[in-house]
Amino acid sequence: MGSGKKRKDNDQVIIRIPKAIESNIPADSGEQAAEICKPSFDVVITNKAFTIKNVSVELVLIDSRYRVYLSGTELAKLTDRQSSMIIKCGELGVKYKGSIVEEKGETYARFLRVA
Amino acid sequence: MQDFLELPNNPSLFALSCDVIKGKFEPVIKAEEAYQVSKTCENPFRKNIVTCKDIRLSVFVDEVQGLDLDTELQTVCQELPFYIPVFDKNVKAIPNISKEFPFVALSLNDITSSGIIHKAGCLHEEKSVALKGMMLQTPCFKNSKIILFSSGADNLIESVWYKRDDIKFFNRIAKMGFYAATGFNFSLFVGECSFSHALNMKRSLASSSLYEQAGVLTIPHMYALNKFQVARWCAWLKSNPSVSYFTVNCQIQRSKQEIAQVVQAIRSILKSVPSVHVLVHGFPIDKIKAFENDILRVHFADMLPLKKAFNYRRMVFDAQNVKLRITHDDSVSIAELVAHNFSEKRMYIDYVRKQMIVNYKLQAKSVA
Repeated sequence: MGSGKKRKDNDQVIIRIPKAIESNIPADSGEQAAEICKPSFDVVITNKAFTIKNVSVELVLIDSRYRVYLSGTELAKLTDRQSSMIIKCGELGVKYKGSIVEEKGETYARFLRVA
Repeated sequence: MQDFLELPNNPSLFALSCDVIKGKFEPVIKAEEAYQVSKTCENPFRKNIVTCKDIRLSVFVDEVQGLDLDTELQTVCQELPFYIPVFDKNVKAIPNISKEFPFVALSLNDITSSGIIHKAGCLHEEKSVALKGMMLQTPCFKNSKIILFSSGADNLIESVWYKRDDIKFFNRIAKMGFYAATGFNFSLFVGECSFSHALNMKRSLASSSLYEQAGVLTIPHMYALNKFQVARWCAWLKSNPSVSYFTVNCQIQRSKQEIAQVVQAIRSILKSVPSVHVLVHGFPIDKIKAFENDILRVHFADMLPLKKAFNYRRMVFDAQNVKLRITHDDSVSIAELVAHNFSEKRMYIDYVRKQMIVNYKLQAKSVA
């Protein structure tokens, strides 16, 4: 990326253990996080009544599936795959932070990996 | 003027918990370097950097044969022009300008057809990286010497570095026919663990060495954020006298302070090693006067004229006001605009350089 004062939020990477050496080493949490936890994902907002751009949203687990909430109101549901990823990443200690974005005429909850 | 390479007088709380301050990596990394640390070194997921607390630290150090900048390079590059156009992946739309510009350049991002993808507002690493092996056969490169800037998003350079053996990266670059390739621009960010800085400096140098081993001339890439890092690069350059150029990727430095810092680091190296020149990539051209009387040892490379041409923007060198004016022009072909814009940019830099030299000579005379 470069040198300077602040890294770009959209270019975050988990450094992998060098390949030439890694075969002898069991995968650690960093390796597992790099493998499992996507840097970001979008969830299309179905309930747009309360959405405001850039406002933070939270994830709530209900019946083994995560839902996107804003001030107690459900805005969208994650897929089983997304929910499963968040559960696995949560066990490793990797969290996601979400906020509302608008792109190409669509409203999303965008979640970024916070390792 | 503020000394951007000087360390703070007192360590922060984060600095006190950095293993560098305990002298664990002396003599390579001086304990005082940790005074600059202003973020936690706790980084269990190895996000962006490998810190002093990493449980696999020795693996990363072993990968580059230690932190000491002791890798030797024998590379001898021929004299580079003061301005080198950088092309992008749209090579079919770019004319051949080799008569005016014998050297042109490309970046890593433009010679890979996968590796990273932009999704949900972020860059994602893809499973594989593919190189466009035949890219340099395009007519725009005929009779040119092509430099590869091994720079790009962290997601890309870390991915290529990680997979380099799988994709036989360095050998394939050698076969593509590049004249030279720069070292990878592994990131150094202010406030991050000093160990991570030292590791990335060495990784960058190691990448240059791998280019050289594959038979490609190399231009080492050098970032330095404090006087100790500058001193390490200077010592390395002095013990590798055949290396006459180093490079610095300046594409993300935009604030006054960031530019001042990079200029100060470059000028400190130039001052300490009089035989060496620098190739700056993506430096903001309106700031070139910051190099003062070192200007003849600074070579510029950028792709702004190309980007402007693709947007039907004509660059016009205005000698009276010493400016590059931008006007809209869709009356000529993109290829024509590309050639024109690069030419105007070169004229502009040439003019400013000459003007600066005259001024410094006059100043020197008046002092005498």
